[in-house]
Amino acid sequence: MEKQQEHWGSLPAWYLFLAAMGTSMFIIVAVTDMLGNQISAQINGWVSLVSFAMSSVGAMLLMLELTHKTKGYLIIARPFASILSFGGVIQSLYIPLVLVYASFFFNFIPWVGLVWLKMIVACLAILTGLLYVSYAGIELGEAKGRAFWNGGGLTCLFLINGAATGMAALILLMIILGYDGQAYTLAIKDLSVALLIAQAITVPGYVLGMRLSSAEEARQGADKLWRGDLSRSFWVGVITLGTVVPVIINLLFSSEYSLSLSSALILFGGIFFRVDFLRAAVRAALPGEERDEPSRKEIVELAATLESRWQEKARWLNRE
Amino acid sequence: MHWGLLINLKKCVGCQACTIACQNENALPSDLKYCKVAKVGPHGRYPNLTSYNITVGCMHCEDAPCVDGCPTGASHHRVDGIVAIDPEKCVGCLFCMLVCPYGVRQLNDEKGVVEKCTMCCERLDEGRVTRCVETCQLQARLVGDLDDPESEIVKQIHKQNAQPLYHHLGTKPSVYYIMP
Repeated sequence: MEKQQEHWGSLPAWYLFLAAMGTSMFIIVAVTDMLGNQISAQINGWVSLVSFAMSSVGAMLLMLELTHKTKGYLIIARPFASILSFGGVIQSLYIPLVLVYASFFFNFIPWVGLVWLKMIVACLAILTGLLYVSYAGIELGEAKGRAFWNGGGLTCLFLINGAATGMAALILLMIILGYDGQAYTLAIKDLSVALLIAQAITVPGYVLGMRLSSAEEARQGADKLWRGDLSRSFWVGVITLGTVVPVIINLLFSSEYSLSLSSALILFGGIFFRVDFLRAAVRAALPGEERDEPSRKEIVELAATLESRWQEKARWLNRE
Repeated sequence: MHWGLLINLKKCVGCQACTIACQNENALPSDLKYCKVAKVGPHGRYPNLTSYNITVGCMHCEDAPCVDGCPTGASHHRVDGIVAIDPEKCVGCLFCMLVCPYGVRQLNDEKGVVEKCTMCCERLDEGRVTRCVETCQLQARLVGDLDDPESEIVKQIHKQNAQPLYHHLGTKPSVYYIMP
């Protein structure tokens, strides 16, 4: 039956995932740099470039979702008119700032020695990055008719998951760059375990809270995740493979392979988390809307079935 | 001046004349409806069954989430309270469709822009009533100025205790319903 509920496709979910992952990864290494950790000089350039690439790909995915892509600039033409345009402006500031920050770590760049300038750029990029990862939860909260997104904890969930995926991506990058045995990598691993434990409590907690909500549409959305059509990807993808299994792996093992596996699983769970939470929120059904209308495709299929049934009957009647 | 619509569900028989007239007025493709008619019920237990028809279009909310959420300003309030869409500014981000609690916005695939009921603002500007009001044979629909306490629509709203749909969402709709 034709679904009368509108929702974004999977491209915005990928955008949210890539933006949160890339930005969180950057914030971690930029803060590490500001704290004076020596490893920053070796990794921050590459990590920032990857963060730049992630955020840019995410932004391009969002542009692909527009029906009039050439008019996409209009989104930032009124910077504070809506939360979406605010996000667009923040994104437009963050992406070049990260690229500029990355440039301070490559010796062929003329301004590589200007540490004070690098710190200013880092501060600005961290600030815009924090706004960038936070605004998604606020943006979804704008949908008054979709009570599943109206919970105050949604932004926190997005921040926790974003930070966990950022750490997972950072660990993978550290392994690729050959820093897997470093104390810094192991510290990030321990932090990610703490975040994943928080995620294992808060994500089902949020869904359970919504199941007990007074708003019918919030309960419907939560039920889709708890035991409905999204329950498999939620319980298997987000909770089991994306949260619990990586915690167990990270607590029991610390080899390069186990770190890679757990990080890949966290990223896998992060994608499912964004897709599931975008799809779960249903709008308050209007009176009479529960009567689903057949879609054109279903009418065509029904007509084809009827036609073949008629043909069968005709053959049976004319078999002599 | 604040245009509003009153729909009397006690009179509506679900003939869909308003839907067709609206499609004609706005030259819409057959699968695009600014004014949808749905049958509610039957509810209850035999022989005490209730069933009625409801027409749903844009509610032209005073505190419209679509206007607040539109990043380009394509969705906007006219001075007379009608929520309008500027197709030149619409980039098709579909955020307004997502935040509209009534689900009345639709993407016109041919034009690539989001569309919805305009409350026939051109007709109202010319001093005529909306096409759906003009078409409804049972006079189940009434358009008027919600700011004028002497207008027929305001009198009927008070007399019949008409209510908007889902007013608890706080969007302050300009479309009122007389429930059966």
